Amino acid sequence: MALCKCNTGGGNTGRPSCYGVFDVTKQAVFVEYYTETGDINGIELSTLAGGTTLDQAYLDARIKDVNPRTRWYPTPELKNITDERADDITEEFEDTSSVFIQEGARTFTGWIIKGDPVLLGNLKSWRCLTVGVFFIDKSGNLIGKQTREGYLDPILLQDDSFSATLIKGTDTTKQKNQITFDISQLEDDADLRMIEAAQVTANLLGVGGLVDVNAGTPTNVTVNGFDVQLNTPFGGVTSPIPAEGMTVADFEANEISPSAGAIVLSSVVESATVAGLYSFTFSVAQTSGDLIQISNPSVSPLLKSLDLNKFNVTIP
Amino acid sequence: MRKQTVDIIENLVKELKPFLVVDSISVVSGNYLIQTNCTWWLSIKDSIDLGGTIYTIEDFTINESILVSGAIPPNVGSYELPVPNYIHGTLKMAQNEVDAINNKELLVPFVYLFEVIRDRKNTDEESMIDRTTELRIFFLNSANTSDWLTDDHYENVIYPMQQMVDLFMAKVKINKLFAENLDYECLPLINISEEGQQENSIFDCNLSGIELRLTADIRFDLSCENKCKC
Repeated sequence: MALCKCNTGGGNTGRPSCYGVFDVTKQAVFVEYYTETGDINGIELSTLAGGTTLDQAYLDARIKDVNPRTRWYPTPELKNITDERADDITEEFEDTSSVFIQEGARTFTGWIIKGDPVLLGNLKSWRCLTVGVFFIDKSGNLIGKQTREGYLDPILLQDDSFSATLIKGTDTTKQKNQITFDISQLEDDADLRMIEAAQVTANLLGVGGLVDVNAGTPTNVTVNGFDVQLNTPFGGVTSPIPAEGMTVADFEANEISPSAGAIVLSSVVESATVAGLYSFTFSVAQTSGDLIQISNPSVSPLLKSLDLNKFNVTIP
Repeated sequence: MRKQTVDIIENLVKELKPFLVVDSISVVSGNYLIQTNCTWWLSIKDSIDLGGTIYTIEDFTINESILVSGAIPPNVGSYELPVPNYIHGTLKMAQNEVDAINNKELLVPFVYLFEVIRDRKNTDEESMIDRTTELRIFFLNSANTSDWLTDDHYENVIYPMQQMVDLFMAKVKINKLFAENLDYECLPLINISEEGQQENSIFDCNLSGIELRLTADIRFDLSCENKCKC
């Protein structure tokens, strides 16, 4: 919260003739507030194209970051948003006059229409983290805070305030997820800033997050390769939605034991008849007993909006 | 100067350029059967450019397949559909504009925004709503009125043009100039005619399609692109 400046007078109240203002929020972008190094997980403005423009390459690098600690996690479009500060906290005296103590908490609530239990589970996992948030508004501005020169940082959420719930559908309303969180009391609305839509060439508004991909049990395992069904967690229990369209560049293979090391995949081919069924082929025949791990590539950004949960294969 | 409503609608129509995804192709009686999950508003006897070669649609099953004739087989891939033509104005002016086009194949499908348009405005400084407007927008394609029964109009024009209307409304919903919740009506029109009596065609060609009646709150543009304060 801003401190009073007793010796410099009040702030100026003039305004330029035209200046951007925030529009209604359409999406939130969650991030872990701190990186592994302890720095705030913000946007270093000098790393934008020309130091000014948020382009598609930058956005892809953040959304499809192979490091989940620095990745951006945009929500689907949010509806029925409320983002309001509670009334100021004041001390009232017997003569009914009052003095300002501190601002009320800012609470954000929004709905994700057609939100489902899978998304709910992923959202709930944020509760125990130190979370920051950027907002994307209807005009395509990216809103954060500026408390460090040269950075647009995420806005810190109040610890443990994040809540996600499932609201089931009715005859006349759709199923939805509701997310609620408080902005940290350490944050000041006066620090809110944005990268204006005119400086965003990426497809920011409407950007989607990654979709988890889970592997079934590998079959037809030989020293030369194996088959495996890759599905998303969405869909019915007997009709999961397959992860389609992946290629060899979407995977990395490493031997875990007995001797750790990289393995080259010569091909990964999706079945023409069964969606999500992939045949993996090693470039060199492996040895019986080798334990091999298949994962995302280790180099960012991912090529597709699919986040493979790594799985192991034991060569028979 | 704020954008006129006719220009806002024109910009939305210009965004109607989806991709036709050709999944597979087979030869059927000298023609080419294209498998695709979405046929958009393509209809019988329409011409489509697939990779530089013009094909004529001989038959189609909506959102399943298209049978085309052409000199060479098309290739599997994605092809951007051309933006529909756009006309706005009073009925008399639109009639003149349509009448002036001799080859109607170059006109259809087209979007016609009916005028006069009444924009209701207010002086509420806090309001984000610049104007409230009631629009009548026609999404039209050619129809064989002499040979088709009502079901044929639906299969060949109404269903495909409804997909154009749906895409248009999807563009409206994400457009920053439109408020989120909109009321609209869709009216299937078979062989559109004066007063719907089927006696006198509105234009000098046979057309069917969808009339979209849209009551929209158009928001202020918060950007500083327009430096003129008038």
